[in-house]
Amino acid sequence: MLNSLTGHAPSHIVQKSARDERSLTLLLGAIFLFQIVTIVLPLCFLLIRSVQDNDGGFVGLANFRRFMTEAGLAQAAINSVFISSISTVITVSLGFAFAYLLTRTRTPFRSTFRALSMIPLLAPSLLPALALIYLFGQKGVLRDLMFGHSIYGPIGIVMAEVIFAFPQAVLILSTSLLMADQRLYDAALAMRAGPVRSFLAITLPSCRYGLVSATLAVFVKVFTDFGAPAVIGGSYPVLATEIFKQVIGLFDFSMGAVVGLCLLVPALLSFIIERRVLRGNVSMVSAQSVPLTIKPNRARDLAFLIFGGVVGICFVALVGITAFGSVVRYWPYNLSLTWAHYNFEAVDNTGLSVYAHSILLALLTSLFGTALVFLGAFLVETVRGAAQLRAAVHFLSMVPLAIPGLVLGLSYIFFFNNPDNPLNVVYGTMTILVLSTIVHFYTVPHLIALTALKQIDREFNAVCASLRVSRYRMLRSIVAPICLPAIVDIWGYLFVNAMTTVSAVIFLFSADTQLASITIVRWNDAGKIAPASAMSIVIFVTIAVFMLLKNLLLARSIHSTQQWRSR
Amino acid sequence: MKRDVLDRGLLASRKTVLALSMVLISSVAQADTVTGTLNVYSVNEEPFLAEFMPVFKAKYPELKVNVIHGSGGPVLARVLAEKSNPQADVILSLPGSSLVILQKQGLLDTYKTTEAEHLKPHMTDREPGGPQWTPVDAFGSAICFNKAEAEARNAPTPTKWSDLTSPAYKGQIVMPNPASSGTGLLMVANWFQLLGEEGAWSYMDKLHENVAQYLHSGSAPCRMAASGEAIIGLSYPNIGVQSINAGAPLAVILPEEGNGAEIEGNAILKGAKNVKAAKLLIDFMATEDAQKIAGKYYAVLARKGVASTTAANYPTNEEEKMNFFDYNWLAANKDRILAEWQKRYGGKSAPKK
Repeated sequence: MLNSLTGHAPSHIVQKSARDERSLTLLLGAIFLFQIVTIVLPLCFLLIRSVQDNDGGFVGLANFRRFMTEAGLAQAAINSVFISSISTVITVSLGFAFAYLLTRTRTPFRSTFRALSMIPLLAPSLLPALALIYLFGQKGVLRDLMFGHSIYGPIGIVMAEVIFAFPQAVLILSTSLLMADQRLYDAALAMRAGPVRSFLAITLPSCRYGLVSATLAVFVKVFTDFGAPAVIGGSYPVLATEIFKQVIGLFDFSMGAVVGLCLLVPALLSFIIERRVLRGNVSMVSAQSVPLTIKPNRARDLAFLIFGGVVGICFVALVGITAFGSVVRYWPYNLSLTWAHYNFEAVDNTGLSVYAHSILLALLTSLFGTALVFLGAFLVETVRGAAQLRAAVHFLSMVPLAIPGLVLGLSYIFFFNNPDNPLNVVYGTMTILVLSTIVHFYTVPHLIALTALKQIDREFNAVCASLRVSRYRMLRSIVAPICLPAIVDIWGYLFVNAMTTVSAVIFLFSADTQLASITIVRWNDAGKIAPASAMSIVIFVTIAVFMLLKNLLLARSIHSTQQWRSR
Repeated sequence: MKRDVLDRGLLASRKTVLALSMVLISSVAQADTVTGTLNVYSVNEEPFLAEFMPVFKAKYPELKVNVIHGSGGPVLARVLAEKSNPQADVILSLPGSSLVILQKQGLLDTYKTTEAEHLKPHMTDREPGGPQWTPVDAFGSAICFNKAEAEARNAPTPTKWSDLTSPAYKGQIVMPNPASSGTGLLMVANWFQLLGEEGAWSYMDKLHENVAQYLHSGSAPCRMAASGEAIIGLSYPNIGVQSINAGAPLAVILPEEGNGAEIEGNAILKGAKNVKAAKLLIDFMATEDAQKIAGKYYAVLARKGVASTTAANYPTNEEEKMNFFDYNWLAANKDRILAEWQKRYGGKSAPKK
């Protein structure tokens, strides 16, 4: 803008920014290439599988016809849609209220509530389901609350899924609610708009993008989740357990591939919907924005205190009952206390090394993953031109959310264990675990980064250009600091998920890279529920400690980078 | 260098006698030492593996043994998915019904163990071109019965498969889904053997009235019965015995009519990179010493004359009640049976109260 005012920009600036632009585009290309190798090609191998019989012969669409006609599969698809819709409505409503509590009220203990809301994220995926059985099973302590209904089936699945997806909804929505312009609310007040009116006219529209993102993310997440329906779903068939049955029970990889492709449908739809919503998106924080000031309001804050308290107590109860289960001798018949279940070396001789492998995987995944995801999102947002490349990278960033871990793991075997693939050296190593975990959990961090980046006004670009600041410098000195909370959230999200992931890596680990999360599944399956609960608690505590350190670090850096948010 | 440290550690931590005898065994038994890496996929019971593997490793100290352990389904799925580029040399204790699947796809190497003459003939592989797997043990199905919950609901103790259709157990039985669990498939196949095609379907129709859930795992039903989530879990003995010994008010019942027997066997995969070591492992598992270790965990052993010394509470006379049926029949009829099963019972959603 300054350039246009002064008339002509010195040619070396134009050159420099063109060079910047070229190298940024090149970087974006590199990320695209990475996605081709780690997402597209494995999926292509899956696609090929879906039109082959199990001996590798081409059968056209026969498998798809079989899917439509075979009893149970179509019903499972309907069940999946039903479960996912209900879970999404509940999760996003609760998540929005909770995010509102965190960002737009002066409810006391907000940071405590924020930490509590992340509990399900810190726990291995089996924990909520185990806890629900401890609480609401036939012998559960609160079984009377079920009024004779069984926890095994749709009720249990929805409860477990809401718990499972809640932290993600809160993360996305609070990032979105965090950014607001006080001037809008001041104007609303001046025009005598009541709180409801300004909520409907300003708050809701301003986080429309976050709401849509959260809805899509939760829906797809629930649609493809395997853990909850497997543990607590009884015989209520959903697509995610069907794929497990096809692959693990019937060894029908072709049908597994077909079901896997069906599970991709919601992601495709969500991509289209998201693009449409995005078209009208206006960033809420511009260079002239005034940070929001939240005034105290006793009635509001009290209501949210109660709401947050109830949610917090529920989550604490989940961990509490599991922890209790891990220290009683034999649930529910012998409730005397013992630490015996924590002696993992006595359970089997891999007990401690698996824990070390999990930590290593989590550290590597969160380090490389955060850098990759944030850079990718930044480039998608800021590279000028190359619209198709940007759209492609964004689309490929959305795809992993839809790929059930089991499918991703399988497609990795087909692709990376192919003797003709020069990349097959990574098969059976920690590298493939890190790769698959980054890819498996790519989408939510991408959305978090995007939501944060979208709220930085494009004017910063122009200002930087006119101040002769390179785009790399802009990333380092403006974008990264502003988005620091989001970056740290991404790091935490990847770390936590790498600690707890099961489905994608269950086919890919080797003797030297066995993981604690997989050990939990194995023990649970072998009936060693107490040691499985104990290992869940150990993972939970480990993650909690890491997150505490993360938050301390964040609090210090917020002090130096986020002061602009408050007046 | 590394080995020096390891040796010193061994000598320091174990008794010298033991170390010396190990050296003796390996120098006498091995004209040439076995080196390299052996990649093992194992479906064994965890405690057995924990006791057995160190003994094998001590016998061949130069050999690096990598073990990946899992339950039958995931391990078999992994082997099948890796078939274009096999990662494992040998699979341990894969159920016979799964071994047949690998055989049909031509993924197993033929190998006749040096211990073959000592093995029970009715448990060995009768493949015309020579055996492709070597049996280790066998187990059958079992009813896991929660005594405490049964008493609370006045449900009688079942002794036969046919008892399970009694209205006393309505909504109180959980069993594995035969489409996703080998244990479940074994059970259904056995009912076909006992009752014939029509009899089996009419039995399962009645049983279905009592079944609360069909689960995707063979051990989960027993686990649910053990924790009081159901009165009866159809499963296999070991998981129930472990639960009893951990404190569950459970009884493990072997039905009078007899059980489908699942033989577990070891096999070398075609394309194995260390065939020599794989053969040594298979041979060693069939020796008396190794079978004695297996006898602590399995009631029925492949080697003649080795008595089982299973843990307390393991049901007696399991071998007498075993039906050793034809896996090839099962492999040929599996798809048809499962399709019909799915049609009849697969749509069952939440348990009815």
